[in-house]
Amino acid sequence: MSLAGDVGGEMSRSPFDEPDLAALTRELRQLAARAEHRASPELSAMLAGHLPIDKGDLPVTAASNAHGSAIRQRAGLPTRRIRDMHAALIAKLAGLSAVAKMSLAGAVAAAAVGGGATVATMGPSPAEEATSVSEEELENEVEEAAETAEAEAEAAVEAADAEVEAECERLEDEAELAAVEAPDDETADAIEQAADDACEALEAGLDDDDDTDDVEDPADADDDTDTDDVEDPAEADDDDTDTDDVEDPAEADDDDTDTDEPAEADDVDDPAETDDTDAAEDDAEDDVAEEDDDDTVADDAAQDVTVAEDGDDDDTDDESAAETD
Amino acid sequence: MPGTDPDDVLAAARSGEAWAVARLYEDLKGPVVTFVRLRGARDPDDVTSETFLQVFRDLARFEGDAAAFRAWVFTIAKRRLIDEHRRFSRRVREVRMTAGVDAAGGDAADEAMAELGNDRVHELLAGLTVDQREAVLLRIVADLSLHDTAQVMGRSVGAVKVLQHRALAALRAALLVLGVTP
Repeated sequence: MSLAGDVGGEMSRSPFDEPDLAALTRELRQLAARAEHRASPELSAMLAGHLPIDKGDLPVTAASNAHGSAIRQRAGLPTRRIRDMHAALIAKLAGLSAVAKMSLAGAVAAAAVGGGATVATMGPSPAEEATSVSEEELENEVEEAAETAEAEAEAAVEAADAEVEAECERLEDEAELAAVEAPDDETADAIEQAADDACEALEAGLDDDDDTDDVEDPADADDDTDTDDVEDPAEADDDDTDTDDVEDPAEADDDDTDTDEPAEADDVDDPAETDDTDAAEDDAEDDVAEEDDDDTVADDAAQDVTVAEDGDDDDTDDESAAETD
Repeated sequence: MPGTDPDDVLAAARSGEAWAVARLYEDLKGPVVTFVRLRGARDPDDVTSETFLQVFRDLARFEGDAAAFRAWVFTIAKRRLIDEHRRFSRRVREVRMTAGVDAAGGDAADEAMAELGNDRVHELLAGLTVDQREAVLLRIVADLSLHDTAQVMGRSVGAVKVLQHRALAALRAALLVLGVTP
């Protein structure tokens, strides 16, 4: 019995079954019953057993609906947006205190070291593997594991160095870009000075972390590698600097540049960002030419200078305090 | 042993039973390919394949009984037909039934009779408007109720009744002209 027969009960009472039309109706139904269908290869494959009926085959779709490369899309930000973005970033950078810088640097280094140490502890425990072997073999395996963890920790430290270096380069690039927009040389110098301070703070934080024993002792690394503590630099930043949003470069980056956390090396090394910066730089130069008479921009820049000077003072005080500690 | 109740078959197909999916296809392929062919599809086999591909992809999301499923299948067939028309960006042309119909048997006499029947059906349906033809095909070939026909056509039941009434009148007149006696 076919589906057609079961659901077609109404047909026996339909006007199509009247005597004058019965022949036509019968012919049409016979036509449908006789009709053959040449299934497409895709349908044949589906009928052969490959039935994607759970969710359906996901169609191949582009990652983005926007056309063109990501580089071009990012470089295509509106000029006003780029100007506002960099002005806000520089203002925040200038106001960055030493505490915030240190916390950022610490978070970056801890993330790198913690990541390496976490990887080291992800494998099967040497002790577990050695339960069925001799004590000697156990010691050898523990030593090997310790050496491996140490090597990975060193690699992580190197990665942290690279990240900090890249972050510094990025900050300098941003500052350079902002300096182009500055109405006078003093403001430009202040901006670049602020960027230099931030870089120094980052490097200082990394040096401090290098001095700790966390990196070199795999056992300590095992104990201290809570993923909550080390793998989320943004969280660490939040803990330290939530009270002062302006001081957090990580947040400034997220809010204003649409990029991910600065701790990620991929973002720092992303050629798209470089191109974006270049394009933005070009736009910024145009803007400077266009908006020399803009009082608002000048006022903002003046504020930036003030904030930058304040930030420098803070840095000096805080760094002195840190050294004393 | 596979069940024969349409609702059981549908439920089994929704749960991924290959035999049930094949059964649905076997039951509906004839009506679907005939519907799209008589509605003017340029490539009825392709439209039918596209219809069943979508049906089987979305089968897990379908809710309803066998009658609703049948109406759903023809709704999809109609959409695929519209897609084809858009693709070719041409007016719907009348397609000769002899072009793509494979006769069921190998007997030459049967084939000849089938050809004659195709020609007659085509000639009769050619005198109807597109909507009237669609209503007739959905009612007879697709075996849908008035309500389901209205749903597939996106019209009210009353509108479908009017279309059907006029189609019947046109068919009777055509039969008289052709000299066909009941």
